[in-house]
Amino acid sequence: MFEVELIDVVKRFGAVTAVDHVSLGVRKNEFYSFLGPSGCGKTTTLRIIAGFEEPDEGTLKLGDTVANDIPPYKRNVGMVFQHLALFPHMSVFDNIAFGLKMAKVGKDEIRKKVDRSLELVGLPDFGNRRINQLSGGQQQRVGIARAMVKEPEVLLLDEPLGPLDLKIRQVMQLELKRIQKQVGTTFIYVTHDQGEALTMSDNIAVINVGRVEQIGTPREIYDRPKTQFVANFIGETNFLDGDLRVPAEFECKSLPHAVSVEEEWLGEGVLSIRPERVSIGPDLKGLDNLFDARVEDFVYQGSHVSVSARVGDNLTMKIRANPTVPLKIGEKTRIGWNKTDATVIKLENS
Amino acid sequence: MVYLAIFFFAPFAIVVLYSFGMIDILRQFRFEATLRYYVDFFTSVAPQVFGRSLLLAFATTAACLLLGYPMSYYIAVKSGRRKETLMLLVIIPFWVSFLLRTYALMTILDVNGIINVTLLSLGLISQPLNLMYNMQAVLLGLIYNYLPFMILPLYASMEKLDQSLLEAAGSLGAGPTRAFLHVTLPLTMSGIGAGSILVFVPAVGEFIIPQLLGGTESFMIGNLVWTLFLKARNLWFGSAVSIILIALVILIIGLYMKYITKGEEMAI
Repeated sequence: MFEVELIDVVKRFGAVTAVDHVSLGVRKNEFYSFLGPSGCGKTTTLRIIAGFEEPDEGTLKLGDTVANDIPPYKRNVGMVFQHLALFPHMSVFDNIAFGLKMAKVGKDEIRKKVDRSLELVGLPDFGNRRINQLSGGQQQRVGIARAMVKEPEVLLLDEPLGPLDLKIRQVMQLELKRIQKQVGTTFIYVTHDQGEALTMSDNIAVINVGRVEQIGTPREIYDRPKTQFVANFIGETNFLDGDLRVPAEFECKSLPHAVSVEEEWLGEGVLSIRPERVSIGPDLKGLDNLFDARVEDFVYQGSHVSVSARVGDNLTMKIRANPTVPLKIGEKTRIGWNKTDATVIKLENS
Repeated sequence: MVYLAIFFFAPFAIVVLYSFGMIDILRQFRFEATLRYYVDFFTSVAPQVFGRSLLLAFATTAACLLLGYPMSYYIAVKSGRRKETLMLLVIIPFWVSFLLRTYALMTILDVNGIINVTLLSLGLISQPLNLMYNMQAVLLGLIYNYLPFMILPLYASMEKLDQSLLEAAGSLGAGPTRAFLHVTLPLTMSGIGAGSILVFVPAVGEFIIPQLLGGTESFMIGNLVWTLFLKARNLWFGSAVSIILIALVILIIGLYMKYITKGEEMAI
């Protein structure tokens, strides 16, 4: 049973298909992220859920009801806007109270609820301020409080942390997660920041050019990307072209011998291995896959060292090594990884 | 400041002095310091003319607002790529002299004008209609000439209006009507205020339009002042009438601004 469900939803703007047969389901009390590059259709998908856009094809279900034609003001869906959209002519209190006033809630009740939600977002006693007297982070909190005060079943957040600088972003990420746990509302969160999506989400839908590339938990998305786009968009990775002719043995032209993998299927594929899952060192042993390599270059980055290592004749791999590993450019070394650390992406036409 | 001093404050001061009975500033300066001309005001036809002018100006402002608001809203928010073209159409009449535009209106409303000729030839009327030389014709002329002054400031205030505010209102449970009342209207109040003043102030003192389109019963303050100064040569009474007009307009604008700003604050 889904709280929000999209079934084969299509939305076109002129010749552009912004949302291309998207199907996904969001469960109750889940923190669900739409992750993708800008212009990928994630915001349009969110706006369809909010009711600002009507799908051209497909079905949107909110709970049990088909909601395609329900206008936004009749949906129990809150929204935090990318550029906040706080009412400039109202005080903080009136901004937050707006939804309750529209629902004809009594005055005392409104005061109580607004005060409580101001406390929830960490802005007690800010009620009388005007919007332009607040900092970016504070405005963000007001935006969240305004959307939450009506206790909507679903809260949509459209890159709400986008305009904030890094430090406040990180604070707000934790804050949002705390608020979500505290009130137990379903959050649908749109972002292009993979780090943000990985830290906060229960589930992520990776979207590219209007299509859902993969849906899964942060760990699934990161460790078991199903497409090259997902592997590349979320974190760094090494791609090795090759194929599986024998189960669990991936043959790559650039490598002197086959790579042992977990996959049992046969066919063409691309092996993806994250730089931090590759070990490096002259005395490396005991791993499923081991190759001779040569250090091409390395950059010290504090917590780790980014190494480029040449394997075989024409393959360079990115490796994130521990800074204690001794490295010298041009020196022979060994690299290796366990088969559980890599994943093979099946190519569609094979 | 020098410019203002020469072309505004000095003439204004002279008018004030005249209204209190100054006689001739250049040759033999004499000053009676009398309120006679202000007392005269209330015994003359002036109050009646004032009432009519205010009524016409209010009606013009209201009509321009009712017509201009949806027009500006459409142009600013809904017209998309035709926005520039539509704004140009609003401004184009300014390229033609004010006088010419009013004469053009005469050729439409005249006994032998376009409307009458068309209706007659269609057989819808047997006698030409009297469309000119009455209050309605003056009102029409005023609305026609002053509508752009309403549209321009309204357009400016609406173009600034962030559409996501309306979406926010929608997601908070406000239907189109309530979103309009609580968000659009208060945020375009400045445009309404500016437009209303830009229409009301010149309309109340208008004298060309009633001169050309109106009859004797649609005589306005402007005509009165004009007649007093240039025909009757009664500079003193004319000055008094002008001063009363200025005072009244300032009073009305003051009250109006107070109401508008209050409305902005109390919008929710």
